Amino acid sequence: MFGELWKRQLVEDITSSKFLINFVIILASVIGFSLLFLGHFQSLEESYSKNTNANDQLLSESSKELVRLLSAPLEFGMKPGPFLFISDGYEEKIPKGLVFRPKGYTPDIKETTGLKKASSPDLSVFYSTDLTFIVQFLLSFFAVLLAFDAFTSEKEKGTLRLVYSNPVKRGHLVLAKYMSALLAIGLPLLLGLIIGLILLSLSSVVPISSGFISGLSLFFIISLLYLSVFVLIGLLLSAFSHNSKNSLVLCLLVWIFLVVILPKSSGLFLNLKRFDVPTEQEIEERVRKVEREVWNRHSHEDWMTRSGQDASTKLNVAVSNEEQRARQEVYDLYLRKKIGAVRILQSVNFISPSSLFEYSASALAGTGLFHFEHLWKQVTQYRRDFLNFFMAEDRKDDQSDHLYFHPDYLSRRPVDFNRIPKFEEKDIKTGERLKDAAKYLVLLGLYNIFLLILVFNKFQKYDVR
Amino acid sequence: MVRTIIKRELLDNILSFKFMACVLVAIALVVISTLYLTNDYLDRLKDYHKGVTNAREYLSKIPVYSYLEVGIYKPPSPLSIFVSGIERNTGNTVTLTHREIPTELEGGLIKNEFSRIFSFFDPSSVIVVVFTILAILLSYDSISGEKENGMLSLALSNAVPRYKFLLGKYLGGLLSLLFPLSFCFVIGILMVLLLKGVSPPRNFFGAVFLSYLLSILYLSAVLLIGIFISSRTKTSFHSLIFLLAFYLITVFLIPLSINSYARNMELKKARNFEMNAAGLVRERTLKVAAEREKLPVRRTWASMAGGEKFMLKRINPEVTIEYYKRYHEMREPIVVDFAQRIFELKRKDLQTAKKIQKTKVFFLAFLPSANFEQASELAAETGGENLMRFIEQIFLYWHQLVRYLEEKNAFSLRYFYPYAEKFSPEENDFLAKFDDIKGGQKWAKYKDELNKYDKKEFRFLDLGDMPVFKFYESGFAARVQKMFFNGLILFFYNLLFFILAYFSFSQYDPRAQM
Amino acid sequence: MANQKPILKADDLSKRYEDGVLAVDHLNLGIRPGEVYCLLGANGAGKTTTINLFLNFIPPTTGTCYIKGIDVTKDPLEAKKYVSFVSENVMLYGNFTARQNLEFFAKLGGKANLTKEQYYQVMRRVSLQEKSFEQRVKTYSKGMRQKLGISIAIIKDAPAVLLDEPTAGLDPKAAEEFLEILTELKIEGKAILMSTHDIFCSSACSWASLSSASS
Repeated sequence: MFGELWKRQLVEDITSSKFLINFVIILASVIGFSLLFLGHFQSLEESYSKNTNANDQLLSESSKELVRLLSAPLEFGMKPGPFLFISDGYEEKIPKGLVFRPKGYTPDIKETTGLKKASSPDLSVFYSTDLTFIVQFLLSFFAVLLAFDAFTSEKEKGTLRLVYSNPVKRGHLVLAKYMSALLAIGLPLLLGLIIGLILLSLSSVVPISSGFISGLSLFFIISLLYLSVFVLIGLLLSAFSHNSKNSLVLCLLVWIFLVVILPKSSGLFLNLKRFDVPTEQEIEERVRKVEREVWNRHSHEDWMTRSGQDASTKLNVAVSNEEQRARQEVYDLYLRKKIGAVRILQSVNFISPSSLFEYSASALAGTGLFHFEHLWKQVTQYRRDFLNFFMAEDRKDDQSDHLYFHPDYLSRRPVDFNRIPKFEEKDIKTGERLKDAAKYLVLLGLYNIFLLILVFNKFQKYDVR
Repeated sequence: MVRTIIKRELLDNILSFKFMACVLVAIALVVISTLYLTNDYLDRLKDYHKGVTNAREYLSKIPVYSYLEVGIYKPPSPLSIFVSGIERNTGNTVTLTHREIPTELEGGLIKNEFSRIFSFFDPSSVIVVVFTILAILLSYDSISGEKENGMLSLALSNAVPRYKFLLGKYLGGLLSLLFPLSFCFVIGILMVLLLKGVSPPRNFFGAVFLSYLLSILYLSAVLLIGIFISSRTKTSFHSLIFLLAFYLITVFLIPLSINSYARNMELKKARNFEMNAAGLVRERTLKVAAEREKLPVRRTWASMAGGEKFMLKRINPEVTIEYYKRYHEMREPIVVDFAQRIFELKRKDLQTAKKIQKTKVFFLAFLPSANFEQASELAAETGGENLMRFIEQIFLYWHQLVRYLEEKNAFSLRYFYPYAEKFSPEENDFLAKFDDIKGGQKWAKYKDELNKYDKKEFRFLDLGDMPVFKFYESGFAARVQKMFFNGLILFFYNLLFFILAYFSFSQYDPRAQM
Repeated sequence: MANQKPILKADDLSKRYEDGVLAVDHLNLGIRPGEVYCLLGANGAGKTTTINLFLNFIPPTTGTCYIKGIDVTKDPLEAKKYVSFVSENVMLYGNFTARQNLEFFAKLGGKANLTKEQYYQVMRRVSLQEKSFEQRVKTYSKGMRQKLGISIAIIKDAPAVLLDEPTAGLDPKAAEEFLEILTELKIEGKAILMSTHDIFCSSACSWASLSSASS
């Protein structure tokens, strides 16, 4: 009996005109966005490889004297990958990566301030052209459209009375409507994803790996979780209304609120003192202050550099290392603060399933903020490896005083460029990405359960006449 | 006869649930966004005033022309409260020197680059999102709905010509929209002027009025499209689906794709500029170095960092001073020249960007909602067009500044030297002794002694006659002219869909299927 | 048949709505197999309410409804196995054909595994034209939909049949055809409760009760 309900509903949903229109729109958007992505991805890759080549060139020039390696201002951008098609993560808007800034004897790690500014200042692209947008906007709209008249149309047609003159449990109809809608939405989405995958792999511009395919499948599941929320909202509002027109209005307004308005409201809190971060100048001033504190601590000592054997020179090196650590702490602190402020603001958005979905997709794809944080970790490790390599090389040179890291007292021998460790960004493991996405998914799941219970309850008392 | 229909239509709409729900939501959103954006505007205004004051203070105390930087600030526009455009996303400062012609703005209130992922809706987007939905909801069943509930046959059984019926429907719908629209505008303006005490600049009311007219034109077009579709589809439900799909596609999907595409194109071009600009900078460095070799005077001391003032005195001051005088006389004109050449490079980029922008704007003008958004940005002067104009005016000002510097013979001695020429023998002795002192804290220890020299015959530059930058916003007539094309398209849409609806409706079968 | 237990039974049934209207006032009835009970009355007299009470769409203020001895409020699912329902002016699923609608409701009613011929049989019985069996219901006239509604009730083959204004809007010929089917069902031994304002219908009725508005 339940099977009958479900089958009938599915046939009706799939043969409806709304399904057809939505199908066409989804396919057109996926194809359009794939083409846009291909064009854009190529230039992203070009700029990334240009960056890497510039780094290599810097290293190659510095390799003529070992000590020069310490002052190479290397740049580490976020590596573009096919996951950007799944979720863009606003990578065009946040800082594009980190740099080695040689201020003291050894480089500091800083984020690149300022973006890759286009010559046109038109930054009004508030949404990204990725799969997340298609699901977040178009499919959720369609989900609501499928479900908004679930109960009210049956009531208006008189079939609700007819159905319930039979031994049918109330909950069965709800479940049937729900599952049918989910299937009717999952189908075009799946097809869209497959077509997108085919287009990308055909182009040979984008490297497709098994990791990408598994990521895409996970994205499909997350999308279903998200879309289920909207189906349930549609069903719920349908169970609250007595005619389809009212239900439609409510559904549209709720959709606008959850998908368009709410995610675009966290800007509201940006100006709060709590989220205030200092300007670049203020940060530099603080750095100077911290440096001076280090100097003052040693002001009564003699740390002038004389010769490689002098105690004062050794002290100078120790002080400069201390200085660098203090500086790096300041930079790290403020970077953490900036990212932290954004994270807190994002949590305000947790009421909106649309934002939850966006964040989980970004986490799953390993793009945006998540990407940046992982890059930061890797660059920090690379700096350690880089300096370790330097010290190992320096120890081979008897001429060097081995004072790490004063440039006047280190090896000037040339080093083989091919032996210098180069930074290669490692992809974030699937497990890590799932861990990042977990908390958003749990919240989405709770949303679903909560709405499901509400819909079941509300429909129990629904007047079928 | 038409009046009766209008009245009935109006009443019918206003008392419907959909109307009340949408209007409530719209008003709430307009109030919230106005409040927030007004506070944001006042913050930016404070920041602007602070910047201007700081810049002025700075200019009153510079010792030499090499320190001359004119801080130029772009004032925030109160109209950005209603149409935020790009004002909140771009910087508001340019630091102008003779060394470079700027093409981008910096600064602004955004200190945390990561927070660029957030944005905020403004009242004009409330019109695009909520009022459009309302217009669609009011019009999708204007014809087909009447047919379905049998009212159309009833109405047309009277001696009312079809076109009058159509007109009544349309005007009724328009009036229904006009009430909440006007209410929102009035509330917004009152909140801004009375609650927060923002003082309206010259073109404020003119621009608001223009936006108001635009909104009416836009919503009227949506209404007519809805009415037309309603007279073409089999059932109201079909027309609703079609209109909602139309809404999704033309409000979100297509503008997003077009904007993305345009931005990708621009990013591609920008990269070329950087490579060539770097080449020019290298060329400049080489040229300066080459010219320096030709100078008849040699300098005898390398570093000039920091204690410039004192070192100059110590080591054969006359020769060093003469050297640097000739050096800067040679170098600064070359720098100016190269600044212009680099700008020419950039200008090509800017022109390409402008062309891409223009094409994008042209295509977007055919989508009613994107058309409206663009036109409002033009009316409020908060869009990209306004920024481009600002940069162009800066370019003109830069020339004025350079001319001023040339008139003042700034690239000569006064470029780097703030003192009278001679120091006393005792002072020279002290300076000689000073250099031999060891210890990391010698600067701090002898700070007071050294400060004495700082105050000696030291003049700040008098920049009273320097030209001052003023940014000219477009007048009302100019704004109308810029929006002309957009307005024309919207008007054309109105006309087109009214005619289409007229023809479609004259052949419409009013019988309900039962 | 008179000594059989009544299949449809109402005991002291009353329904007062929230707005104070007393739609059903202490109704007692018992319909045995082969009996047709007509609820006659003007519009708003509470006829549809009675039917809704039997189907447990609304709770009674006092009294109980029994279908085959089962209290409909206590065990509605069980009770509904034994009742067929013909609704007034039902649109049905417009995009489906008559047979598809019939098949769907048959299965809901517990009658799975019927062949296409069996469906056609039932539809022929209600004088639906052959060519419309596989046509979509949204092209149907009111009369045709009504007939289809009746065939839905027939195919369930339940001992009780509830009909809500079955002849509303039908032309005399169709009404005549309907009466014939009603008589057939009566002879088959179904217990039938019918609400109608068509006084000529009552010729088929074994029992009738007149009700005026608010009484």
